[in-house]
Amino acid sequence: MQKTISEIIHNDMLAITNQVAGIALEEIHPTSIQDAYTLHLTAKGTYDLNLFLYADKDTLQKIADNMKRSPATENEVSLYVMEFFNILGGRIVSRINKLYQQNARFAPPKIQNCRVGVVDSHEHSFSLHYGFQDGPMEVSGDFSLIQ
Amino acid sequence: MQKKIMVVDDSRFIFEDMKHKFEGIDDYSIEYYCPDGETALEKYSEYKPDLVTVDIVMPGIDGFETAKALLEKHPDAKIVMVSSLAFDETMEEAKELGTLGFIAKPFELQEVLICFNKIFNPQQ
Repeated sequence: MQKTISEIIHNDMLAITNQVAGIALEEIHPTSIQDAYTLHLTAKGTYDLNLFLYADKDTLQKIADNMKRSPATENEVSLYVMEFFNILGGRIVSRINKLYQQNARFAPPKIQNCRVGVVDSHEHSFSLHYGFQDGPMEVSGDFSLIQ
Repeated sequence: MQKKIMVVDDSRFIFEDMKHKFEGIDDYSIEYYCPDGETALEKYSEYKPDLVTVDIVMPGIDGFETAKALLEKHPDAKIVMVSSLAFDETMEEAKELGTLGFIAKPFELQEVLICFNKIFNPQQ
């Protein structure tokens, strides 16, 4: 199951980042992101999913600029990237729900201007690293079925 | 005659994105934007849109509550639900409310056009 959850997240990360933000990501070796911002959402239901997206300010600016199709102000950046992450999270949760015949929903995601979220070594934890010309991104988190 | 669309979504990106995608599509105009359900209920009579798209997850009253209230006040309202959460039961709930379609985010122009055309030209 872990491999499949990682695969779902990986496939959706590539597809949504491309479709919504016009960015073609490539997988890269794990790299530390300086001055990372964190977008976080938690899905709860018959399973728990913690999803963290880490990116620096330049990367978030690029996402927002591309979504707006023009330069985004500082205030606008958080609005656009939150919607980006909302769409990504919704797609991931929908696919997990369908694949495993499970049911979970999530509240609106949160953003913080620092790296938060310690992912303990967990049976179903994941950490995926991506890069493109403007910077690196990381998607990490954990998944557990509620027995 | 060009159909005027009202977009109800807490993210203005969705309205702007739809407007951009619909540039050059003569049959529809993405005309009005409401950032929440309360505004949609307040403005519907003034704007008189031909169709409303409603995001499900919004602060305040959610999309389902908004659609229900709109249909109670305006039974002829044509409503399409929009969400990043494309569950079977979500779509079923939308249908049972009396809404006419469901669009999953992120959407492509073609799938939105198919949805709108089915509503306005059901014979085709």
